[in-house]
Amino acid sequence: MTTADNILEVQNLSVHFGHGDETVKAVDDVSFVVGHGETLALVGESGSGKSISALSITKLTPRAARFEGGQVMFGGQNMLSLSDRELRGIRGSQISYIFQEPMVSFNPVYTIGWQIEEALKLHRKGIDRKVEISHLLDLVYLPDRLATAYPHQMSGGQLQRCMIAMALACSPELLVADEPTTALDVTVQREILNLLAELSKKVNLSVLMITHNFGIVSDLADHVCVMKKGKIVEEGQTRQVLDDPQHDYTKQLMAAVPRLHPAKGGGVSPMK
Amino acid sequence: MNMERNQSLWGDAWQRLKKNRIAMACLSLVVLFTVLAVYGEVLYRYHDIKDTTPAYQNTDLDMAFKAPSSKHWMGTDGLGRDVMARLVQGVSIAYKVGIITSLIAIPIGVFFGCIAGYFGGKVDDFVVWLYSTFASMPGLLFILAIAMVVGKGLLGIYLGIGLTTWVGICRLMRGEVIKHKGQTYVLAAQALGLSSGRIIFRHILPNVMHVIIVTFTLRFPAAVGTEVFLSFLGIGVQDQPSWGLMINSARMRLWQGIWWEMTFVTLAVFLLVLAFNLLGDALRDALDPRLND
Amino acid sequence: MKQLLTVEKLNVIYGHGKDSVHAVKDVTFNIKSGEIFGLVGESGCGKSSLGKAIVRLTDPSSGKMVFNGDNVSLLKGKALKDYRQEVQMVFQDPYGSLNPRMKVGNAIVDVLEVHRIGKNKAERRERVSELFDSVGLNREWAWRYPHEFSGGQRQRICIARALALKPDLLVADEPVSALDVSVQAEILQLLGKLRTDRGLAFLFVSHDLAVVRNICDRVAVMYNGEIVEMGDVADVIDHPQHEYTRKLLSAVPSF
Repeated sequence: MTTADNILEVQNLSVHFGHGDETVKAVDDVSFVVGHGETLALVGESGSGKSISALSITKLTPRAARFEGGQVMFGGQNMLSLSDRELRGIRGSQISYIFQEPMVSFNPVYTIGWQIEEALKLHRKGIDRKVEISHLLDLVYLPDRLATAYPHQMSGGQLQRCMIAMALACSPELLVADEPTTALDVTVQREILNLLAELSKKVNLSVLMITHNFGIVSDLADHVCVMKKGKIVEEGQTRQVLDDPQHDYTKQLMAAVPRLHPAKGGGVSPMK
Repeated sequence: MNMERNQSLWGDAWQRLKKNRIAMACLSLVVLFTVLAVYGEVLYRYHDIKDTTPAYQNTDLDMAFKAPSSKHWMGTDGLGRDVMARLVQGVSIAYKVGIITSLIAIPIGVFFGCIAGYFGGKVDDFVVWLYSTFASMPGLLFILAIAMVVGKGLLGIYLGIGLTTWVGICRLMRGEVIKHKGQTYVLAAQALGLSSGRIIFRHILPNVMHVIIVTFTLRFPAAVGTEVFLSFLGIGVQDQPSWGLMINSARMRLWQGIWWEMTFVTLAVFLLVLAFNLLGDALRDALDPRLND
Repeated sequence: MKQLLTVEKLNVIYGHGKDSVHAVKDVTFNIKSGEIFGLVGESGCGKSSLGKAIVRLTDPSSGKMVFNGDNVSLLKGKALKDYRQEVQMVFQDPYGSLNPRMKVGNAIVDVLEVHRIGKNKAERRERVSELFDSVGLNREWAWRYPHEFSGGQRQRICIARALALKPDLLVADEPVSALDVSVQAEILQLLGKLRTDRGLAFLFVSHDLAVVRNICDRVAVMYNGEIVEMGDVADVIDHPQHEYTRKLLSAVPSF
């Protein structure tokens, strides 16, 4: 059971690919919790299992993935034991996702407004959808007129805002953001991060953030889990991990982030 | 997969194709048909020079419409001619029509499609104008017109079909090349000082090869079908048995229970088309290095 | 240090009349040999157009580019092909920059062939192996297809391909933006090493001042097609003069 403070509890989750000698333990006995209105960051390199962990929450994992144990508690239910039908009801309405590539996450032949409306139709009946769309666009600081724009007419940053608006369409309790700013310029990244931080306060949104960049973690996350090869190697309060990293891997990940004021002898240092 | 060091894309494709049993079966079938086609062609030339009547033209009215037997494995037709001999002879016509028309249409289509897609602008305008013009002319009229100029017979069919059907492949190639032209590897090749010709034909073409292969395997039966139609109209093959002529004559007698001519000819068409299609599919997959690990 | 490239009042305009886009406006700067020169700005500011104009993938509309004493802004044909031996480019997208149907080593052999470097195939293959060594990749991997490599490895291959012609200047257009920070650090280190070992100069195009800070000697900040600030990288970051530079600085996540 989830305790009153936590919206999501992942316990001893293991997800494997392949069989026999070729088994890949993408997620290996991983546990973490996301508190109400809190932001948790899963940090690691590509291949560390951070994305698979996030996708496992609503079983959006690729077909070949095998759940080898553990549970994902959300809203008093173990998500791993739900049927596809029940999961579809939860995805998009209670748990929303935003992904790395805003450019390819929209259907190019429909307007932004149409695509947001689609999400509303699916999960929220009996509301004035026009009003709701303009409210959602307001929330992410986009002008109403963009509802009639097509994806190709918008910049990457605007599209990522639209993604967020769409993800918020059904007032989810948990937002899973899988590398939401990796494809964006730093200036746009800054705006999106600020927006996410503001929304998590404004609508009391819980966020599970997936990233490879420790720089992003510091601005947004309350808690951090560092993943390496399918396992969590370090976790804790963000400030505490940043100020006093315990695990070598965490230190290496942090050293790889380019800084504006590098230490003496400076530069970035690659991973071992 | 541990592959022989430093082979070309085609070398690799052959290695992979060899492991595909169905593809190898189809390849044997294609080889068999090819041998028959060459044999038929040689036989025709031989009798043409000697001015004798070949076995497939031997009429024997006493033997008309005989069912398959040990003497005539596939029976005889209305003039008592051996169906098997005519069928084998027909392979050469079907081959010539399928391959020669492809050899005319595909290079034209690929060439124009590639340059239109790659260079764009005026070149593209010209090519689009050219193929729109060709596409707007009814194909049959065009073929008839060509047949008027070069005379009845196979040459008219080759040119007629070849010169009208390049439009489809040209359009496909143009679209594919435009898609690839936008990719960074093409930009990188330009930055490395490679010439346009080299970029188009050495770098882009292998990436769009699957379109050509699929088009070829689909064209082949279509070309045979057109030959059937033209021979039926009397502007096609004159003095040799073609599958078109055989199907045409066999269909008249089918209701009398004379099933063998129709059965064996359609079976031959079916096998040939199937072999080409399956081989084409396998080749397309073999040419994609990403599908093979 | 000697001037390698001087760019004077360079303009790049796409299209004609009303629909034209003035991507690069009166840009003037120079790169010394062996220098890593950063070009920073957000997408759409014209930094990629400027990079492409220098490699002559786009034609400058007006202005002058002098490379090693020769005016290169109007080169054509054979002369342009020779210029390509001296100035090369690496692109942002390591996935799209390699031909998926060509073994990576063969793609490099192809380039050597076109420029008639090396006497025969064996010699060119040997050259490919050396190039793979110099970018820190296993020689044997040269005869594999692009899809067998990770993003960072692909970017190394692209660098090896660009080095095949022994250029003096490498235009690197956001070479690390598509990579994980950990891989990013490796590539940055490789670029630094190439500068030390070969005296290679770079035009390093990026949207991230923090990355630029860690590799470049000097930096130009580009905004709306114009260079708004230029100077030593430490100076620009510690004492930004232009408001836009300050905005870029404040966007960098810090901890």
